[in-house]
Amino acid sequence: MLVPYFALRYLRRRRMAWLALAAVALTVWVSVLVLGVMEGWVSFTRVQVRASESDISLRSSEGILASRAVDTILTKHPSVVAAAPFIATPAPMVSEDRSGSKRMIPIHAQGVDWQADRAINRLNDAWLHPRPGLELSAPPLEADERGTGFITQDCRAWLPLAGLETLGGLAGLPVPLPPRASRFRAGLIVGRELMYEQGGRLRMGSPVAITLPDQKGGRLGSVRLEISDTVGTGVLEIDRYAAIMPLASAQRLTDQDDRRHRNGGPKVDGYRMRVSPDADLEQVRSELLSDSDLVSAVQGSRARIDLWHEIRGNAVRLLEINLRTLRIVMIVLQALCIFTVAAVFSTLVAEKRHDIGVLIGIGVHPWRVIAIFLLASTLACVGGGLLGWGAGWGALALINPLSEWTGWTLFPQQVFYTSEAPIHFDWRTPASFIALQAGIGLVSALIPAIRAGLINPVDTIREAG
Amino acid sequence: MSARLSLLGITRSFPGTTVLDGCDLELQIGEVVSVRGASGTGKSTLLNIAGLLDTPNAGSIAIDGTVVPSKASAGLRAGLRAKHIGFVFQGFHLLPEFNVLENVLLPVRANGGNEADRQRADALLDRVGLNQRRKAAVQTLSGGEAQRVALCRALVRKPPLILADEPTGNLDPHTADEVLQLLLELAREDGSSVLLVTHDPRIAASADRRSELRDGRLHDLD
Repeated sequence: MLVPYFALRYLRRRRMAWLALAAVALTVWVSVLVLGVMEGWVSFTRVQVRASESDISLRSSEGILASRAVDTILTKHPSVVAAAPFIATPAPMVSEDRSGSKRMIPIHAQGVDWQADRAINRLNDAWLHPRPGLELSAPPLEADERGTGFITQDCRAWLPLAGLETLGGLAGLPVPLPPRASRFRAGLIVGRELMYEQGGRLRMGSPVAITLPDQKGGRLGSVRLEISDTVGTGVLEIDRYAAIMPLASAQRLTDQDDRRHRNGGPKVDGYRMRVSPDADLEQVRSELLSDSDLVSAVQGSRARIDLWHEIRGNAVRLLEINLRTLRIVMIVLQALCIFTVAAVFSTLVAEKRHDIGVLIGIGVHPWRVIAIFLLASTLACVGGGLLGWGAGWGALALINPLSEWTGWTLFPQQVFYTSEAPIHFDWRTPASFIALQAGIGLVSALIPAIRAGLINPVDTIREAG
Repeated sequence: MSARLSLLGITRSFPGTTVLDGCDLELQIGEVVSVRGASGTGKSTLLNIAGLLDTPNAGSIAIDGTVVPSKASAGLRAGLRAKHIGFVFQGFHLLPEFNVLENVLLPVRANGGNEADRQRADALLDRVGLNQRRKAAVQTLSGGEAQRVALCRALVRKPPLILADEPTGNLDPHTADEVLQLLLELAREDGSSVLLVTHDPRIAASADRRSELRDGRLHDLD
């Protein structure tokens, strides 16, 4: 018990040892804090990207028949939870403001099946009805400020009356209803940033026209819609261009509707799929591509299956490169502690030279003297690491409340498109630093400890008189 | 019956000088031997060699009949010291980081002592009149008290051989007598042999056998 007894005593009583502990705690604190935020960004971006993009998607440049057969083939795969047809194309949107002047806005038009899209976790409640503006944490639009998904405000207001009229008709009691002003248009859900950037030119209920030109100077298709709702995925590049319309409208826009393809039926660009969380995406792709029923169903189209990170993984990859670079920097920072700890323990050995001489004099094996200092430095480094871990997580937990309280924003939302700093608590980061520090403690105290073990007790006894 | 300590032909040279030149010494069980000599004659060097703290250039050392190899490692010598030898130095050499009792218990901690050793530490402190000060910091002790703590530390594991280097050198005559009597009493109770190095003829006279170190050799005075 001599070794831990002396190691703990020297740590408790020597201010010098506290310096080593503080140096280690500081470096671990900085590393945990910086990497916690950086990992938060990676995690945040990954979640946003994965949420706005399905796990895997089947798509074809020639279109795929929008048939229930394809849907059934896809969902019979044990890992595919749900599938949703989609059409996606860049297109110009023309809006007309109150003064009658027209404005062309580039959009990324998407046609989706509302229920199917919700089944694959897109168009979920967390995304819908965000208030356009710079304040990302602002409460969503109230029901009377918007439509409901693809149902416009006017249509929603008229629906109860239509129900009343139907009931009256069934009962033989015609209900006199006020005449409708015009035909109801399908609703268009636009990205919050798209709506915000157009200022007052785009409002709820604004009529818009979307026309898709063909390669001959004509037009492939055209639809007239009415802005009915907003969507905010949290990914700026999506929210700035998103214009989501009913699948039928998008089929008309892209000339894939049933009118022109009576023999073949309406088509879609592809199917997005949600797979079970534990599924191996590569394996699912491989199995789907070798499914003879699916090959037969999409025959004639150049179909391919993409994984989410092949479509939108670049943002995540870029951040992961940054995260790995930061990890290397932080490891180097930890390694710099070697010099501090070595200096501290060299001084400690010099200070305790007399004690060491006495210990060896009374019969303590030199190896045990070495072990005292190695254990002390390891304990200082591990203790400092634990302290740094606690302080790091504490600081991470306080970043957002302090930012809100002081008004000092770490990540301005107009630049970073998030209302608060994304934080990620991963125990593996501090745990790996503490393990690293344990190694640093051993290495940095090795030379001072060996010097201690080589002290000649005769010299120290003579020096002390 | 073998001697407790046997030094045969011990020679120790330092650059430019030979301090010990073929010293012979035998110390029997329970015997107290004093070595006198003027300053610089090599008394402490002899004690360091006897205590396996230093290695002679020539000669052999045997403890309880077992010869210590001339090339014994530091670890082996430390082990022999822990098992056989207790030191009392002129400068006390207490560790300031620890209190009185902790200093006394150092050899116990260092060599895996048991509850009996701890009880003996208490008994020794009681015997030297320091039981009330067992938790005191050693910096607060007087010279006499500090040397009594050093005595307890040397005796706590009942070592067969006690090496005392000017144990009263830093004490006033009255305290010196007290400490010396304590050392001899406690050593006799345990049956320990004592090698007492001193320059003071009065202290040297209290030994069973006296010798003098002169010109690198030991000469019997009795």
